[in-house]
Amino acid sequence: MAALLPSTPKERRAFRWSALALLAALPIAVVASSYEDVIEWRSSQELNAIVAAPSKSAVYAGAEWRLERVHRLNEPGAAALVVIVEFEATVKDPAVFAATCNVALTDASKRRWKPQFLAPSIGRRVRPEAVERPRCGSASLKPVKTGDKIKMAESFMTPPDIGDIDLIVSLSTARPAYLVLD
Amino acid sequence: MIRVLGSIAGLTAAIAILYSLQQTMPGYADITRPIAVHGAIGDRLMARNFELTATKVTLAQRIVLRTGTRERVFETTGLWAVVEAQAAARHESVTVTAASWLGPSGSRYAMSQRFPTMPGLLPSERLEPGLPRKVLMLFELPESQAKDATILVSRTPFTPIDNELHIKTNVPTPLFVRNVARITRGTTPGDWRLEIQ
Amino acid sequence: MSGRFSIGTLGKRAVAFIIAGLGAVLAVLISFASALYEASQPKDLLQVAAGQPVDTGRWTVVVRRADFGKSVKGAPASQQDRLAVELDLTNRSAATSPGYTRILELESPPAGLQRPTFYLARDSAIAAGLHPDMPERVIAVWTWPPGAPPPQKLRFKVASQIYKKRDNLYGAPGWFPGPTAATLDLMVGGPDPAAGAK
Repeated sequence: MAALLPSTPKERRAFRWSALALLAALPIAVVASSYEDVIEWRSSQELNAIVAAPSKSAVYAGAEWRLERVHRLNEPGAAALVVIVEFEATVKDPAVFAATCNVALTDASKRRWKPQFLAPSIGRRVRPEAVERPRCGSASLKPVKTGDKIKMAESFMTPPDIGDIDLIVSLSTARPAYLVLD
Repeated sequence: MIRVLGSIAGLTAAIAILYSLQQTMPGYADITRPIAVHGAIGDRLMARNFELTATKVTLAQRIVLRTGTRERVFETTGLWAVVEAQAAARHESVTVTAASWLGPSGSRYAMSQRFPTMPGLLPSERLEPGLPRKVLMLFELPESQAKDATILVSRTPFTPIDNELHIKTNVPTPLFVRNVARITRGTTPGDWRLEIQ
Repeated sequence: MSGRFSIGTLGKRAVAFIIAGLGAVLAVLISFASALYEASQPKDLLQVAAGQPVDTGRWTVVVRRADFGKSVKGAPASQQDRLAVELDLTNRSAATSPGYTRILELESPPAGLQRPTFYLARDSAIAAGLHPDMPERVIAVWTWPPGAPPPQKLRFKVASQIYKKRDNLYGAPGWFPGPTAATLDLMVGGPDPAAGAK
């Protein structure tokens, strides 16, 4: 066992340098084996907000987005409020724009409401032209050209006491940045 | 002599400690078990992404699904447990898909998959934050497992280290088993009604 | 030689290495030989008839009868010939499980035979998980390949499953495929051996 401990000064120096190198090598090994996974995780998170000023448009993911109208439909006697949001995007870069799109509604309490797959019947009755618009993400199915103006709408079911509504849009090609339309 | 005894004592102590550690080591299923939130019927239980209050447990012999004029009857060799609850999401829209009935003997009866996707059943309802709504959980179980049971609800069946609600049921003995629990779909989508007869 | 090592020390170390090596080789040879011996002594497989329960570890299986044709009882009608085997399954484990799909296997299947679909006789719909201690009648339906001759007499292998409290990969509990529990001979289109009893 005595043969394993450093005895000569040369051995002691080598021991210290190796220990220091180990201190540096371990984090490098961790980063090198996991950086791809971290990048992939980041691209599925929504971290950096691009906030559009109210009634103004903002550029995000190869298009210029604008919130057009927010309809709040309240059926007396129903527990939920139906919110239909109409928004449009002018395409600037079709390659980036044609991606899967995640839309959510949010308010001051930071809760998020995901869109309904089928527009609620009250929406079809009261705002049929809004409900007929395609949902976000349909551009990944049909080809779009630069300069195309895509009009979209999404419907949500929210509690009646929802406050100031913001729309959050994030495209898979542009995450972790996401767009907040006021 | 003392040194020999001392080393033997040390060795025995080490063996005893290691043996007890080996015997009490939790298995993989225990280490990755979901974190339980305990409660009873009527308690508002909060999981990480949803909240649920079980309101009533009814036992029935058969379940009937009625759509318009068509009726589909679901029979069983045991009983049906119809659990009514109020559920809402907490921060984000979520669908809760996993619920099971843990009987007194430790057997787990998962939510019945015999039913088609229909509004009212917990895995078919997308819960929204701030909007509590009534949901149903349907379990098929033998009579011996109906009392002293716990209902386990979690968002997915396999996510480890997420929350799982443990709701103690209070089914009284002798068991009061109703004849039919009828679930009728309404005309508007998402509309449904439960009748117990 | 500088004299730091003496032949004596070298000899003792060598002897120690050789003894350890011999021990390891002996252990490997003994385990190999015992595995060979066990494999060369096949246990006689249990032969069961229709109507007899078979304990397969996780399920208790009672095969009732087999039918062949385009429309078989309990499953939706189809254009192709199908082999339908009616069986009663009881889950003996502690949780609801859909793990009965490999329980019956044909000993000499025709070429191109796919895995069967299981229908719940009660609902005539695809069977999902079966619950503990609740016997259910299910119908296993194989789509018969178009060119193959219709079967008269079938021999099935009933597979068993074993429960491991700690598996080899994660130490997690689970059910794993086990040895064949029994073989079963069945006539196609025969009467239900326990007709009248449920």
